[in-house]
Amino acid sequence: MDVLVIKDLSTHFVENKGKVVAVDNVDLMVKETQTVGIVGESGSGKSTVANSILGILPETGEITSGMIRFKGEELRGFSERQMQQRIRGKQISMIFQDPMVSLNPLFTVGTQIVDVMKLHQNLGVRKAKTKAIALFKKVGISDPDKRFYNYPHELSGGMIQRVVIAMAMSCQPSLIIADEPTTALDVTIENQILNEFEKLVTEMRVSVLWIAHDLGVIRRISDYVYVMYAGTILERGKVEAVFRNPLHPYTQGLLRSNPIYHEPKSQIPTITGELSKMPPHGCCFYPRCKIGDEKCLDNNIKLIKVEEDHCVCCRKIEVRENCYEYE
Amino acid sequence: MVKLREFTRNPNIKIGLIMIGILVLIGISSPLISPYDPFQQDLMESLQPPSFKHPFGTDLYGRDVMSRVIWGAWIAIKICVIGVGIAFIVGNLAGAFAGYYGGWTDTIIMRIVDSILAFPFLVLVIAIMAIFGPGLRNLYFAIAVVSWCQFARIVRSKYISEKEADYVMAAKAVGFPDKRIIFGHLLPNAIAPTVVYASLDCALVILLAASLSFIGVGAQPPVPEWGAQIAEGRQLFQVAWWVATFPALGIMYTVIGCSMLGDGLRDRLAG
Repeated sequence: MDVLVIKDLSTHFVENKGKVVAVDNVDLMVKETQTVGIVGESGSGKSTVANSILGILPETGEITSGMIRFKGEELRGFSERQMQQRIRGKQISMIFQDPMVSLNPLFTVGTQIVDVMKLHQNLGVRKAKTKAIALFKKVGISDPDKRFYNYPHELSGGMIQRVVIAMAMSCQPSLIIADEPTTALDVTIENQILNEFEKLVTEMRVSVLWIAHDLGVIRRISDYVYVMYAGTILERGKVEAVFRNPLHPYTQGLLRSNPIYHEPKSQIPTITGELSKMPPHGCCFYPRCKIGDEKCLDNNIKLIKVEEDHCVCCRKIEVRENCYEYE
Repeated sequence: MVKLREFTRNPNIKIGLIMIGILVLIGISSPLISPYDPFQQDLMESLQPPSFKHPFGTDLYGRDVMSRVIWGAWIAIKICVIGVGIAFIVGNLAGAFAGYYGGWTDTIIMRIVDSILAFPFLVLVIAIMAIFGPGLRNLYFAIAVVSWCQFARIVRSKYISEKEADYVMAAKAVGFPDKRIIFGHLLPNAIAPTVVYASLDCALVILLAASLSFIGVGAQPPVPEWGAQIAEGRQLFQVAWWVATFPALGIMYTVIGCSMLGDGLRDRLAG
């Protein structure tokens, strides 16, 4: 069963200078107990997709078209109140990027997790507390009884991210949106948290939409991956397929720039240019593409199916003989 | 929570608290400690200079100035608590809504604030007092009307900078309703500067109330309000300096106390 189906989602931001298209006709699907990764560089619209799902865009943002169907219900048709009471935190919860600022600095972490549980479940304070401490233990917080009474500034980033994960899990949601939750952490802590997160996700049978710009994390944690660039999906597919046989020049570039696959001290290839200028129509990656030609700008390019569960948005895909071989 | 001792380590807060504490004690116990009835006239004792019998002397009607100054402390406290209290609550609410919702709510609230602030402070208060008539109760109201604006401005700017914070996004993402976010999550984070301003505002408000009473639109005689007392003593200043001086010292003492407390709180809370 599909937990989340997004079709043709477009989100705009109205700025002083005009309209900025942050998400452009994105299709996305998360199946039950599946972990789906969205990967792309900063500014590619990954977080905006997440915020659009929950309807927590900033004042200047607006969803202009598309459909967001969650467990068969259209979320765009929900009122603010319905979203608050039925969706946010209860069915879909979110983990934010920077743990040091995602909790209110004035309350203890215990108060905050108990507040969330009281909001969505009819729990007394004492019951909520026992449950919270059990959850703390599950996400690998040592001494949960004591940590319960700590303020956010008394905990390390890794600890707080664990608290936030516990909070996200506290109401048994069907979907967790994780917006680069390990980006602000160092690699050892990231590894521990990924381990615990994976364990919990399998145990609680929850679907995950994991946003990251780290391909290693995506490869490790997710089953399916979307490569996003300038608000559009350039390539999507099963993780094994995409990593074994990346087809879009952007995906290839991303993978090629991974230091693991290069000699120490050798120059690591980069994708030249930056994500700023976009052609009015045609392929949005054209200005930075090495293999593109003028015809790429002619009309909008659709995702083409290449193999089972693997689609790519590039018209060069048929004509190119030598696909970049991974490894 | 931050402990009281940490607060009083700051000398300004310490001195301010002590000064205000003494004032409050005097104000509360004024019926007990004032040596005479502040309204009791005794024309035989008119305009007596300070002596053991009347430490601050007596006024034109033979009333004991010390008792009147002591009773004036209670009135000053009431003006601060009620006037600034109303302004604090109204200003916080208005500023919170304006800052959090933005858009039309913000425009309407802030234009009201602007138009109140555009009036010269005193002229507006005099106008209000002229409409509703002089007297202490209207004085509280008039003071609240003019001083909530600054609170609203401070709170609004704090909310605007604070509402984009990640913890607010996180609170939204777990489905807290707006009311909870505004009052449960943002208010505790935004209230510190207004607390500071409230204690500084007390000083302003006491001066304002005294000015109003001085020009005759505030507290009416025989109410022992400090400003009214100064007004009464003004004509007598050449012959009886004590009638106006002691209430003036009372005002000075209170204003210094409030300002020191406010400065100290600013260093401690807002810095």
